[in-house]
Amino acid sequence: MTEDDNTLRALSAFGETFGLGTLFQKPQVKDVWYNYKKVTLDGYKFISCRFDYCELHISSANFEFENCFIDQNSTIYYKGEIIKLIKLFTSRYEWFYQNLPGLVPVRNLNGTITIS
Amino acid sequence: MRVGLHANITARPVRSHALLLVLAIIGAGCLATSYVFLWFGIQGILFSFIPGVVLLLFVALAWCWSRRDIDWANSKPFSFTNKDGDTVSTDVRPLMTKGGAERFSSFLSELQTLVNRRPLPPPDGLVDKSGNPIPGSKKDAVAKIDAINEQTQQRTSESIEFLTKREKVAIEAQPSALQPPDFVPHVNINRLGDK
Repeated sequence: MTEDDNTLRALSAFGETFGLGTLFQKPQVKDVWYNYKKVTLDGYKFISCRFDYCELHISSANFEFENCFIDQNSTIYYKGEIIKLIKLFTSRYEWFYQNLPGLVPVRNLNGTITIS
Repeated sequence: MRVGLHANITARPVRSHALLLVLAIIGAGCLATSYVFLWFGIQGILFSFIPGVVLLLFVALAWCWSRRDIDWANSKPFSFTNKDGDTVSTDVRPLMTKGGAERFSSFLSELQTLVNRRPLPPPDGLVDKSGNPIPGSKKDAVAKIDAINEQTQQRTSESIEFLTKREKVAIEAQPSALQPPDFVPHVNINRLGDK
């Protein structure tokens, strides 16, 4: 048995002992309609839900959407560390610099980018 | 002129290493006995030589396996405290293993999401299979979300209280509404997702 296995088992046992296994399972929200609401998505799994005119806030990748509808009038707000991933992605496309300057990294004069 | 150098070296077995020391002494005794057998030409040297070698090999392996745990026996707990003052403490040994820090980081990320999770606002209704709001379903939808919020809040509070040994955490609810709705656009979710 490797140290990796031991560590994994220890963490798993830790989670099982304290009930964190079920705790870390995302609560499932199914067939729900939100209209003009501010919803923080972190930690939930949305199934067949609908969002109209909503503010969707997110600060981590710990969420799930399954067959959900978000209308064009809803706004998604990215916060926290997740914005770094988005900036790294958009750094390769000029369109984002032109149209979404808030979601791109700082482009330095020497051609480098800064994401902090 | 005389130059003297004095050093006192004390070897003191700690915890389970005391057993290893005893086994090492027995193994050394077996080897010494086999040496005496060899010296005096007594038959049966293998009966003491082999157990001696086996015991010493076992002691060496066991020492290697347990060395790190013994070395870290008096280590201070490794603690993380977030901006809200929630603290998680752990033994530092899991972090020293290959991939341990990465897994623990993932664990903390999950934990942070747990802390950051907010109760859902009251919904405006349920949707049918096509994704369109079902008239008059707001009451059922609110009951569904209330049940989810209650269950989530209970699990979160209990776990955070357990992990941090603090009082139950009051989690701020999400606002109930932004603006009154003007109209509900009609869409068909299935058409959007179907090939």
